[in-house]
Amino acid sequence: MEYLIIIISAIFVNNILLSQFLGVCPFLGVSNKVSTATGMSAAVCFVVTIATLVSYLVQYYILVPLHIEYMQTIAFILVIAALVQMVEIILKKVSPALYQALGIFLPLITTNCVVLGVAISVVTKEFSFGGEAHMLNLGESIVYALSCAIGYGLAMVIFAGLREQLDLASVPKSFKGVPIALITAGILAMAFMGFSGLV
Amino acid sequence: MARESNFTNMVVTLFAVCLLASAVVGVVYAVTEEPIAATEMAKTNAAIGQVVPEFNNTPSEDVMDVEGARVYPALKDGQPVAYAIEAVTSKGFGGSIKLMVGITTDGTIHGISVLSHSETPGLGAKIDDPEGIRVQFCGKNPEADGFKMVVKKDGGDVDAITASTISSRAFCDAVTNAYNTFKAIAGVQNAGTCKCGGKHEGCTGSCDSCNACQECASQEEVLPEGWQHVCTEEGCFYIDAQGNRHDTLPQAAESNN
Amino acid sequence: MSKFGLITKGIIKENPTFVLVLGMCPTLGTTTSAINGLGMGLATTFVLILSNMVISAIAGLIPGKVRIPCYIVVIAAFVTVLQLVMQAYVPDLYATLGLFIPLIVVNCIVLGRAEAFANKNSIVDSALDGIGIGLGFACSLTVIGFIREILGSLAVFGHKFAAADGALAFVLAPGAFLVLGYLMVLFNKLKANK
Repeated sequence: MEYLIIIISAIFVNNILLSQFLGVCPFLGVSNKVSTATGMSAAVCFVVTIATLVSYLVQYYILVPLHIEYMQTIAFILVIAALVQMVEIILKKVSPALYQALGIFLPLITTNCVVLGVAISVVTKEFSFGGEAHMLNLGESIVYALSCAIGYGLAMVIFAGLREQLDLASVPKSFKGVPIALITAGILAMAFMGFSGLV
Repeated sequence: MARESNFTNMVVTLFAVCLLASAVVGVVYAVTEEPIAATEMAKTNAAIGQVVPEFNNTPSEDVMDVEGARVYPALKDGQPVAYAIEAVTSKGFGGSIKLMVGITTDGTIHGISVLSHSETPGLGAKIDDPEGIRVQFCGKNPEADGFKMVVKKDGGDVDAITASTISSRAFCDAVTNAYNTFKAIAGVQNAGTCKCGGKHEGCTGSCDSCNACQECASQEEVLPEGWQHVCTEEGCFYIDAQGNRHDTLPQAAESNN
Repeated sequence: MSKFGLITKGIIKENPTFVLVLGMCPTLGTTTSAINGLGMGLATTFVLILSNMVISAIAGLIPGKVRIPCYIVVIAAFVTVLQLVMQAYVPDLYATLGLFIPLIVVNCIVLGRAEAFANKNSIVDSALDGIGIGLGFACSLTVIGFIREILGSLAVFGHKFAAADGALAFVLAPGAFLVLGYLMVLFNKLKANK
């Protein structure tokens, strides 16, 4: 039950993109087409989940015992950068088809703040999913990370669909491109606000 | 511009950069450790100053631990006038809410200050509004006035913040926690003095009707100056002149006597 | 480009928010009030200046293939320094900006300037570039924060000018997107008229 609440809360209520503003740059950058948005979302899901798992272990088994929690930012970004490289290399060897699909997005992901943002949140913030606020344990962290990434993907794919339609509409010159995309995102965020209070 | 890459120089460069970066961060950490602690202390003291009436001690030096909550006694000329109690609730909408609640010795809530919260900006975050929900509690004595620290929706006397019932409930919960801590202190402080020379919760001063007194009165011991012996059903402990709780008498005091 | 030009270009011509459309996450996430926007802008400027200088100094020593990881480590080190300093001297601002301070590491403006400018220019020019772009970023954030604060909480720099509640949507997520979107429209319009 608790896991279900985490999933719903992370995907809809506190959508990482539309209510916490993480990962907006790639959101605006690659959401022109549904197909690229889907590819990017899949790559994000993959990396966010693994990165959260590894940084959770780094935090609780290396940084905390050594009392160097202040090294968190450096440690996590290094872990993420190394991880992305590794995923890229492994993917290339093991599944060239998947690499074809996700490959071009992987280098972009190191600087996608969703990855670092989720990794830092799960080890520093308390979460309350309808009940008492507490630090997440390993299982909850991974479910939370994956749900956040799914929420990110969902918002991105919906948005890409909207933008494909938008291309066909006649938009005033000064609204063209990013401005109209942001305004659309604002309206989409309003729609997602309707979920608040759900859990 | 950039150098030719080979395995050795890549490894060496990355290693050197990481080492240097860590060294810089380590040095800055060592330098800022003290100011960070000082800032936190100043913040606590400022919050205490806001919630209790005039005092002339340094409450953060006299901090005591009551049932896991931090209590800062505000003394005027050595006499306690109020207690600033750090209260936490984990029932907030976005996470824990931490309050500093000032309660005078007669049980009146004097002031409340929000130490930290993670409620929604513009909604639940209004608990931090100085003219907001906290005003309803100030000057109220929950026991004497029969002020129920629960939102009206749940049958209490507190007007919840519009559209933020969960945050308001959590706020009430934290104040109630603080008040319970106060009662635990007051229960000991206001108890009658037993023949053992100590005080304990619920004792009216008549030791004949009190099991804890009966038991501890048999113990003969000399207390250091200003110390009190407190007996409870679970056993005895001591309170020193500053109000700190000890489970045993200090070694030095025993050898002196 | 003149030294003065390096400093002023970030404000209009190469404004990181409205023209380059970089660093959108903190732009949207921290501009609930003018002060928060300014604080975030200055924090980013701090990291940008120092990382630009150091990267400009070490760029010649670093093998091409590992330059990005090296830059990220340098940036992360300065971000951590910033975190510690902010905790010590401006704890309230640090608490408000929260997660977005460590996320300066992945702000594309900082890494973007390292890659596009600092690694091929002198230390002084890189520092000036950092100041210019940083100030441009700080200005945009302050303007967005200013507008959202007026509409959302009826206040100017924390001082309320009316007792009523503002339009809450502008403090919450949708308002961030809308205000930034419309400001960009305005910016485009002004530029087109020039």
